[in-house]
Amino acid sequence: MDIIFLLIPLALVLLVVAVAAFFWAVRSDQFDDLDREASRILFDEDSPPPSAGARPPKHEPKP
Amino acid sequence: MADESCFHCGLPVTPEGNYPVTILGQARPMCCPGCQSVAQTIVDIGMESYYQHRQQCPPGSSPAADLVPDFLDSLNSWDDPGLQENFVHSLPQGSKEITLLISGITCAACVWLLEKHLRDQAGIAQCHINMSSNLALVSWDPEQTSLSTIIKAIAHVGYKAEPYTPVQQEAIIKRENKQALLRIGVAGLGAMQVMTYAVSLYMGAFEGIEPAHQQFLRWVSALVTTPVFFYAGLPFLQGAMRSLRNRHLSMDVPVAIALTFAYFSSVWATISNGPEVYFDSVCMFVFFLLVGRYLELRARHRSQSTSIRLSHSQLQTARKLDHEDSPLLVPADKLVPGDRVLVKAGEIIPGDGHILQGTGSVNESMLTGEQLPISKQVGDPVTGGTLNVEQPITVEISTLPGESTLSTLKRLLQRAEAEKPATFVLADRIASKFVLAVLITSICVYTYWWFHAPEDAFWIMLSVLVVTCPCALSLATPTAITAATARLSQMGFLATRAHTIEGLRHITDVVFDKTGTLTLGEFQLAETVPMPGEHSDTLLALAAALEQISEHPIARAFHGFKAHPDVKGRQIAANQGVEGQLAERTLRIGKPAYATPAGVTATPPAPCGQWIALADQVRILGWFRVEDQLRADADTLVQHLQASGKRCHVLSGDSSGHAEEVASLLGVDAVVGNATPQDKLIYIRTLQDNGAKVLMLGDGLNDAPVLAGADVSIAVAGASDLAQVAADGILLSQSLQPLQGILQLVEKTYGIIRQNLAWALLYNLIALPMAAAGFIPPWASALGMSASSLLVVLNALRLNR
Repeated sequence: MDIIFLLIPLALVLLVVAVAAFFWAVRSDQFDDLDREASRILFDEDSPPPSAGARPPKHEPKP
Repeated sequence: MADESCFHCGLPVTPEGNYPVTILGQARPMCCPGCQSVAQTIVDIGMESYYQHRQQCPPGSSPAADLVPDFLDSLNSWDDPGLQENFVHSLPQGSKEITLLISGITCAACVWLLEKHLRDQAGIAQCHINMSSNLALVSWDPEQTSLSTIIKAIAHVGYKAEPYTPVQQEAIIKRENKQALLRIGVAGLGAMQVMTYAVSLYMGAFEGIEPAHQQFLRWVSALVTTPVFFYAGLPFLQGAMRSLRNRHLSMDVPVAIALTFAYFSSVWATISNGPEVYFDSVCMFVFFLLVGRYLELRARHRSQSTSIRLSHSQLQTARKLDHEDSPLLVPADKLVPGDRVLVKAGEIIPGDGHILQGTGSVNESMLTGEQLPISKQVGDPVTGGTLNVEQPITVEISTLPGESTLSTLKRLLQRAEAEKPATFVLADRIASKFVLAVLITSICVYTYWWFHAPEDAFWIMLSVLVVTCPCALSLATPTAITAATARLSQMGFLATRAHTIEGLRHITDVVFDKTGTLTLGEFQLAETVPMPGEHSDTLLALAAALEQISEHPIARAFHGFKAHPDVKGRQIAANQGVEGQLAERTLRIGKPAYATPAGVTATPPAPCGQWIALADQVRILGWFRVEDQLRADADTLVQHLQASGKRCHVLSGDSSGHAEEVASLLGVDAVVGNATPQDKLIYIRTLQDNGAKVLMLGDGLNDAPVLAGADVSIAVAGASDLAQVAADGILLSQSLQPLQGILQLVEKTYGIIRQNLAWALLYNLIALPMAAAGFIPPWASALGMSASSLLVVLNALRLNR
């Protein structure tokens, strides 16, 4: 089990990287608008032409 | 039938006014040309799927109704460089940037629609809309487009945008939010790491572990826990220090003591090879508590920023006249005494002064509560912030903006706010007793074991502190309050202060402002009495045709009716009425003295009420009675409040006797008419001195100091900016009905809080003796802590059902 003397410090390096990434994300405003990002996936960036027959499936959200 | 409501805004569609638009392959009914034009624009730009994704209709009073040429023209003034100077930033590459506050955003579909629409406009470089704050950051190339074009483009899809300057409070909110997230991140990541080491250590405790490995794992845990304790746990340590300095035991004290003992004893155990380390408990404890507090913080921030948004006062502009009498748009706060300004009909007078030119009528309801305009002649003083109703006037400004009546009112408001009675918080009271009990018990336990087994004494005392984890206890109230705040905002009520919910629980007296709160604050036609030989429908059509051109509150009562097409040559007589021609006849509508031809005596059909006469040059044709109607649900609300043992009062600034009439109609306990803001404040103070806890509902600027002085205050929908700032909560819907549900929910919330506290105390009562006897191993105490906290959170979430 002496491998932990190598693996745990390695994990700690990863931890530092993760914390740094999180700080960067928070400081660059990525957590500012959580409501909107949650529903971004619902919208198609390319809107279908008004008369197109093949419309995307209906995701009517519940009121 | 789905056909009955407007597909765009959800308002009912009248049979004669249907304006269909083909959306998603089907003809959909629209209620008005405004909605039709917006919906058509949305279809034309290929974003029909907005209608599939949206979760809510845009608000009923859709800005679409403003899509008249006048409104669009008025936007052109935004291109004036003098006005832009305060809002627009120039970017290095020559483009410009502005923050716009957008009203009408209800769901993510709105944001998507707006962003796509704006990005498709020529000359817009960037556009980002924040859905939680309703703010849009737009940058554009001034060579290709202009600010007014951008605001118009937003109006075309049915939203209203206005330039926005962020308030300092918002910067604080943003900073707090980020700070809290960073702490949670550190605590969470740290807790995950330390947990894995802790599992190894527990396994080792059962199955044997090499001392070198154990020591190594402990040192690594200490390393990871250190930033969690000192950085993420800092708010608890600071809070405890603060509360000790103030000689008041808050929940932070046992949290901080437990954390400090657990951390330092674990560090000591690591150095001296002691029996047990609690690093995992420290991290989990910090993490759980931070998450609980973050949820509470977010709920509070959300309602705070909504109220900031609501009370964001629009930039007030003034048309300053230069030497050649040509108007120039300037911000109102740049006016100095001696400036002459032109105020058009329907505009707000930008500052205190007197009339130089023109006669007109001014609505001073924001000062007095009186809805009817007051006639003003040349030389008469006018007050900044009041509304010029009918004709353009020229005003000479006489005071600096900082010394105006409006600023004085604002100062009165601040003073009232500073003297607001403090609300006692239930959880704090229980917490400080509990904290004291835990501290005394720990000391007793330590003393006992010090005599019986000195080497175990410290560890057992520590396990007492950890196992009586105040986690559940400190989460009991905030989680319930958070859930209640969220539920209340769904019900259309924003609690904007931390103590609002607590305060509502103790209310004994409810004080209503009359105009705009109990009544709608707008006149409605109550009765039509035609003279013999006349038909009431024809009279109404004539009246509507005449009153069309007037913005007088009484005239507005006729605006909804179908107007007679043949009335020509209409003219307003300030604060008197309107004159017009129908073929050979001269028609007059308005005050009886004005409308009736000379030589005819005017006697209204009934002695009481407000009667308007319609006449031609020979005789009176008919009478109309208008009144400021009660909100539909006012009487059920008053009955409900009285049934639950609360006294109801009505305060009113107007002197017409309508207040007494309304009061007797509703059967309230007390009524005061003709009251100034100062009188109202004194009235509330007197109630409070007699031991009452007062809930005040109001809307006007004149109510603001009273709102600030009451124990709890609520501003109703459409209240003035200042009233919303002064209030502890804001009713979002047009009806008073939610108040009933709000008070019930508050009761229920306190039921939940009591259950939570009872559970937390019970848990502690069971766990404490066992820990004191030395029976509880660390893993069991961690489990107990998590389970009890989870139960408290789940219980609080029941409020959201």
